[in-house]
Amino acid sequence: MMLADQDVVKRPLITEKSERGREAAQHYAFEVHREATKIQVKTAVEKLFGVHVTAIRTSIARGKNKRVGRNTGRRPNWKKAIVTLKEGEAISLFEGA
Amino acid sequence: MKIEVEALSPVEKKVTVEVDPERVAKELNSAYAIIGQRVKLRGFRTGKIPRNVLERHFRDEVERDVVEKLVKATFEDAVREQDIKAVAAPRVDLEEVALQASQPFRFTARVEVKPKLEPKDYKGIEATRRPVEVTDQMVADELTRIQEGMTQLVPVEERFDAQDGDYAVIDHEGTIDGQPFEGGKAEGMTVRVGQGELVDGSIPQLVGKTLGETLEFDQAFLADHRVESLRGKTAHFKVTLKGLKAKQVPSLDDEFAKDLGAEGVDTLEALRARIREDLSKRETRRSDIELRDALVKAALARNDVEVPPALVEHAIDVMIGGAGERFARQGLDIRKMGLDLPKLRADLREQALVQVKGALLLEAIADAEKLDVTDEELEAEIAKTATELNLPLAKVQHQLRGGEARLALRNRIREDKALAFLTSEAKLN
Repeated sequence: MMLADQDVVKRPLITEKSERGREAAQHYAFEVHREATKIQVKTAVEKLFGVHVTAIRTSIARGKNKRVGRNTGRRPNWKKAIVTLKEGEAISLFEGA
Repeated sequence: MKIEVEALSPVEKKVTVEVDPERVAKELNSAYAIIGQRVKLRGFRTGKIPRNVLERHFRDEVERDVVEKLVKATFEDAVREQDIKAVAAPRVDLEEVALQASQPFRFTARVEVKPKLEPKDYKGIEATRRPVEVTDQMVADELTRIQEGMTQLVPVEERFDAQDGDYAVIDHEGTIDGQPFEGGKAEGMTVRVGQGELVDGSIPQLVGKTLGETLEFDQAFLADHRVESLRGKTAHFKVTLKGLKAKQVPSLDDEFAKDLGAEGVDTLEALRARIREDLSKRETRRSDIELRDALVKAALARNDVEVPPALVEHAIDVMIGGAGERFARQGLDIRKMGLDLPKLRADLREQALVQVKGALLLEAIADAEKLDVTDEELEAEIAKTATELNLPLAKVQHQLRGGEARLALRNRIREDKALAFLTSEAKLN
């Protein structure tokens, strides 16, 4: 599937958990396109942020069940990617401005 | 903390403060700690947000707060350390807006100060005290005023025809070209009978009429009548005489004195004495004020006083505020009176300038002569104020509890003392 780099990487995930990984081991977390492959994520991150990715792990997060009054619904599933950068590199988007 | 003070003029100083980086870092840390406990961010539990994330989101806000806090705190320290008597809030220039934990933080502030005065030639000022004189004529005039104030209108019972000088109770109805007009009709109005115009409350046509009689006449309104639509018009009036009253002027006797109800006054002689006493008190006070004004003016002529502009503006504010309060007591809103405020300020500036100069000079004289106000004197003054205002002592004490109010009172007493000193040292003619 052809995807532009901007479409592959949807947004950075900045949470308590992701910050912990970032500080400890240069793991950067993103929400990525549900259909994107590891290879696609890797090239997209490398191009967009000008860094080198040494490892990548992905997982599919299940959408939560939500209800509004008596209507129940379900949020869509989404894909999370955790990329490990080459030693000494960083993505400024995550750092303090 | 490093402080440099540079005098720009006798009334303005430039203060440069450099804050140590440790202090900056400490303030920043505590600011972030506080904000971290408070804010909510997606992806983080409250209070668990790492510093770098906080910095990304709140840097501007935190730095502004910290700068403000640092400037306030360190400027206060600097002022205390260097013994600068600031008269207004400082104008602060920040050299570097960005705050860095590793860098010292520098800022400069320009502040207006009270000038250092070396008062001279304030002893032996020649002045003339206006002699206080209460003449019999003044007493008599005052008595007449009271007498007029006590005059009452009493119904006339012995006759039924209106005479010149009587007061008539009338109903009247006025029309212009057969049409009633606004304010043309009234019942039970009291008017003077005799000389004068209707607009002044006098109806000459009533002379000789008897009770219950109705008369009709035409009356032209004056060209400057206060109701614009009536100016220059002629109205037809129908007036019915309903009652007659006459002025009863109380005669000046002991009874009159008693009726006034003043304590300890039950004869006319006593009343005269009391009036004389009051007048003399009033005149003495006026003469005192005149003398003091003259002395301050003379002292100012011999001493050049530089005045911080902020003090003058403040004095003008106080003047306008005081006037506003006086109007407010009469139910007027000064803001709705359409005053030209900038012009008013300009007009008051001269007066304010003299006032401020005088106050500064008196303060300097008090300093030079080591006139101080003791706590006992302060308490005595508070007690005196309470008696004068007829308020319970505790209430006045309560109102003056704040340090600022007390300081103001202390300064006032000090000024009075300086004035008294000036007076006692003056060559009075």
